[in-house]
Amino acid sequence: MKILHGLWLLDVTITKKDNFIQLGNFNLWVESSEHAPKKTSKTHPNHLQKNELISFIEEEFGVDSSYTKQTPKIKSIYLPTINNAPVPSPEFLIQNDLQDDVSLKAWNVETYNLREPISKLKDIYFINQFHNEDIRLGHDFLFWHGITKALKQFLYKDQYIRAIITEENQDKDLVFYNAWQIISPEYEIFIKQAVKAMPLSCSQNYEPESLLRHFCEVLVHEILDGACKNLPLTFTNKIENTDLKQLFSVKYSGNLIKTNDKNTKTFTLWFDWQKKLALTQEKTSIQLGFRLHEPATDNKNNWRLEFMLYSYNDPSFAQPLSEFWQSSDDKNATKKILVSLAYAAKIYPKIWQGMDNETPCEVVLTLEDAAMFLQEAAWILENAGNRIILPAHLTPQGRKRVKMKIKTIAKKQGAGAAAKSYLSINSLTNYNYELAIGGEGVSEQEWQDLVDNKSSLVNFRGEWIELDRDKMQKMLNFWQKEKENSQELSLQKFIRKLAEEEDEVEIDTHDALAEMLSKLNDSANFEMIENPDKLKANLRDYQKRGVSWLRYIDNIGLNGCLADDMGLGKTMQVIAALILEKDAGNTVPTLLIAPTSVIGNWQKEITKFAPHLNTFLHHGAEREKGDETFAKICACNDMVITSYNLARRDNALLGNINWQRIVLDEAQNIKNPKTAQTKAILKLKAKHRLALTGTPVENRLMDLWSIFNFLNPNYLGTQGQFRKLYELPIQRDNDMVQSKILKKLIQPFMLRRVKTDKNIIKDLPNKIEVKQYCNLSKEQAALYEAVVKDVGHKLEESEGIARQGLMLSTLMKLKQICNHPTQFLQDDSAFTVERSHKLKRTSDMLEEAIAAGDSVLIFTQFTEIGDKLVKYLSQEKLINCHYIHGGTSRKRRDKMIETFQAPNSPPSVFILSLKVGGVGITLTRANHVFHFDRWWNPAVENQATDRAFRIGQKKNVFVHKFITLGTLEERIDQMIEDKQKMANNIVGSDESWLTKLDNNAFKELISLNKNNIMES
Amino acid sequence: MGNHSKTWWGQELLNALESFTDEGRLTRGRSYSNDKRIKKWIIKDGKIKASILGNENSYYGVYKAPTYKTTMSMKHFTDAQWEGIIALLSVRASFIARLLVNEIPENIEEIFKQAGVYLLPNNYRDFKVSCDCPDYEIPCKHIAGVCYRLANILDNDPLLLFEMRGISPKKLRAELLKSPLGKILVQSQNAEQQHIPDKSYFTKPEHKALPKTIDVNQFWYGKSSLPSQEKNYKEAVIPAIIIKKGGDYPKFWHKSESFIEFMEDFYIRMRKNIKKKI
Repeated sequence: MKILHGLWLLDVTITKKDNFIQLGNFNLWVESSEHAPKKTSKTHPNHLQKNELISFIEEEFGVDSSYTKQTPKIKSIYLPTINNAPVPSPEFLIQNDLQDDVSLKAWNVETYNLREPISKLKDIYFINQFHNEDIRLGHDFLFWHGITKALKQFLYKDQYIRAIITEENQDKDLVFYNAWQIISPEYEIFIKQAVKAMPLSCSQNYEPESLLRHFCEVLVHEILDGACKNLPLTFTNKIENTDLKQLFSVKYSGNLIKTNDKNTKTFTLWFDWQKKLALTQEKTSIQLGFRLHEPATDNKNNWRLEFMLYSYNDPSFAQPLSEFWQSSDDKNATKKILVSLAYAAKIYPKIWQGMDNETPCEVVLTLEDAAMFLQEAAWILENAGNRIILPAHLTPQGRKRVKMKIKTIAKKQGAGAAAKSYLSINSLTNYNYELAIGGEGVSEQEWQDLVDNKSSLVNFRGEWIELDRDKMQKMLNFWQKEKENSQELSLQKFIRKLAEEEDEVEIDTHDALAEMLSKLNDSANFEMIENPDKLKANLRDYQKRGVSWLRYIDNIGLNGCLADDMGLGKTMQVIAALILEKDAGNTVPTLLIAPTSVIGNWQKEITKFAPHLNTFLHHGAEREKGDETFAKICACNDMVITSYNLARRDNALLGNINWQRIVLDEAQNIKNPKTAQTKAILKLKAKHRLALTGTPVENRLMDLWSIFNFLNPNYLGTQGQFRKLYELPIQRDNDMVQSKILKKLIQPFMLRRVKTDKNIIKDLPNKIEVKQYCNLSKEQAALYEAVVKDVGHKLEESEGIARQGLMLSTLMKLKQICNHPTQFLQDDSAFTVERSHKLKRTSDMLEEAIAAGDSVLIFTQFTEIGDKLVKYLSQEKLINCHYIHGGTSRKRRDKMIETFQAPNSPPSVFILSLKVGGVGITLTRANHVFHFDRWWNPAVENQATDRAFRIGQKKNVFVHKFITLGTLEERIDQMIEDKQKMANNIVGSDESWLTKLDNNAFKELISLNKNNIMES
Repeated sequence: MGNHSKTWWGQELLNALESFTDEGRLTRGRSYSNDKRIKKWIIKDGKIKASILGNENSYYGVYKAPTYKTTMSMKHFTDAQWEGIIALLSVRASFIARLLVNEIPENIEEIFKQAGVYLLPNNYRDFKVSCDCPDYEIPCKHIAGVCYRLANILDNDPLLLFEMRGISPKKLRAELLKSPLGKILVQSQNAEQQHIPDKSYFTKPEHKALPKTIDVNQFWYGKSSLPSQEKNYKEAVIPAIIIKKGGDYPKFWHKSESFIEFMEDFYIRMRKNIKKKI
């Protein structure tokens, strides 16, 4: 594994004038898990050097160095050091025995000088999203990248000025330099926040704020110099032959401005001007506001702009200036108010008119004035630090918009049938346009009148509205051309049109299509279904809405993606929908494709909650391979379950059936469109398609595309088009417009509820217990059977204490086998997911939780499992892990808890052995608790669960209990659940109560149900 | 007549001059308002004393470029008049606020009218001028030159107009201090900034001693996370807002075209170039 680090270094090679101009440069170095040849005792032992470094950076990240041949430079960097070796970065996730007294020591690393850091860091960050997990970005790198990202806003918003820096030279004369200065109160706030977030790895042996400012200033200069250098002559000619030319046409800012007696005055004046500008941006506790009031009477020229007073320190404070004059004689405040008013009035001179008295309160505006105010002055005033308060329907959010309203026309078939059919995905919809303002239709004449109106502010049907007349003219022209022809589009294209042309078109709210879309866009619009009679469980309210959604999209022929958060019960909703479908008379089977490790869970849940649904498992070496027999079997089942692997291998067999529906569970499995597996799945035929996933796919847009390509081919365009139109702009360039369009495109097809939604929280208990059923692997089954067989004989022969001991040790062995063969064999064999479905399922779920930003507690009774899990998760899965067991010192334990709980540490897994999860440990940051193996006393389990659920915990906690099917785990779970059959007093604090069972009962308890064995 | 002053009050002064001077003399006068011609320039007690470099002129028997002494003053108001004026002025927030930002309000004559006078001269009787050049016409081109120069200075120093009308800076302060709003103006005049040279071009990174022992996690993670910037990616809708806050025609801008328009163009072009870079 390799970790890319970033380092900001002061430039020592170019020193200008006693360091008055101290440049800096950005450097990359790469920490590697492999050993580096040691040159001196100070050489960092694990980092890339020479050509290896250069080719790594240039090839992996496409950094183009064609204009400068790079040679690595050796730089010194302070790193945490233990035993005279640098501590590996946390990304390596090596569990160190961390001592508290870690010291910092300087290490030599070879570095790569990265030119144009702002754009290059962006590219590297973007490219890295597609790297395999073998290359990671260090936290120092991420910090600098975050800063460069934030700096852009100040450049895009023109929040900088050409500034002059003055230096006193040896002769005590002032000399001038060109420079750039960011002037923005947000910049100062940003610096303050960023300093808090700056780790020591970045600040090194510098005072953080000064180094951060230096970094920002050098980078901003580089960008602005580059941009200014390329200004065309048409611009610079405007100041030809003036002193100012020196400020605007220079290649590099840091050069001295050539001065003489005459132009010095100009530059001094510029300097004063820039200082004053900086002052206008300075935040004082007093903030002025301007509140626009509509005419209270019929006099359209009686708009009022009221002067208001606000406070930066107290956001709730608001006072009309008229009240201030009556109540206060604070000289200082008066001065600030006057100066602020003067600056405001310079921006918007009408304000002067309201100030012809000792106590200015407001200014009266004509209609024309008010229109001008809304068009520009208001926004400049706001940007200059004033508050602007407008009547709600004149704000950009609340404003009535001019749009072309789309009206669909039902086809002239039989009325009833047509109404239904035109709303399905494949049929075409006829529509035409209507001109509309704020959703209300407007006649051509009325529209024309508004366009011809002199003012952009008009009283339209009793309400004042602001209109863009140029846009209205264009829309009118378009409409006049199109009104005769009625248009035809498919539903898919329709949704696309509405998303992509949001500014121009809207859909008539009375239209059936609009109703449908608004329904699809907000799951709260779905009526809850009745709990299905045949479902042996009670659905939660949001699940009832989810089932309703599933049925609705089926009806209109949309293929959707159910993307609820892990733990919200996607399986249950699908089962309920299948029950209702069967009730309605459907006999065509659904094909479920799922990862092998969850197949058992599906089977178990269906048998438990919908035993009347016939399911058939297509899996294993002995599976049916003949087309005809397979077709027959399918015909008499409601659901056929198979794995992703077999969906590919038995593609022809599965492809012969016309399925009612294909359900992809954990649909992110088809995220790679190039694999044979994905291609095979795309070939299957079905009436409906449904994808299930709990990973937030919106973060990985190409995964999203691939899932949509399965659901609704072509809807999001080809992969290439999608990449160009959405992925690059959104994920690399943070294009908010494209992001919004994409969201609108996918929203109707996707139901995603997250556990933090207010609507969900109210439907959920604080603690949600979910059982995760999994199968035994073949290997586990063989071991299990051998132990059962062996104990069968011995049990008859032993008595008393010996018999109890035998029973207890048998229980122990079997539990070990259920966890993983290697735990039972104790032979240090591979701890791989292929040998245990339980481990596979745990690992998949953890990845999902971490991707969603959640932290997880895992409890196990066995230190061997804890040891192996922490190693597997941190080294193979690169998940941030903490682990405490009986041998962990108190001090270290506290440290780990503190780190885990810290709000800014990354989502992590905390593994605890159940015994040490004792008193006094609070781990409320977790919102999932996994019980990897079961403790046969619910009280002990609950106590452990409560670590994550203490006072102060505001979120819901999902408790996942892993149960191996067909084994003692499943049976004991059944016994615990079945309270009638078991006197509570039997259950002690440990498992000894199980030894009170008679031989036959015990044998039954541990026997293996071979139906539940599953090959990987 | 071409525009020579950027402010309305400077222009008024010139308009007055133009109303009683012929065009040819004015044109020549303007060329006498620069530093090459004006060798000395003193304003004291509301009176301008200047030395102006003339031309050789064989017609007048002048063979070596001479220096002429030119003076100019305006009709002064009495202290009593000024006291009344300042009192009226100090109860109007717009006047004080405008003077605070170095401008003369357009409607200032309303105040002077109440005192029976007017601030800006409008005929030759308002001026008292002299020049020792051989030209007997009043005003001569040297006097015109002085007027142009004055108009120029007034653009940036409007309160000088008060001084020219006979109120000393000291008296002005004293009168202003009598009212709450006036006090504020005086305060801000005191707060004129000084030139302190910068210590370094960029902020200088200061050394800081490393902690003896550290927490490994805090070495890599800061105390908090960086604030999210997602919502801040919008471009400015209106260009050059910062510049607009400073008002148009700053003191260093000597062109008749708008400085703000120039800077709008600058920012729009810059943004286009910046986008290519980042």
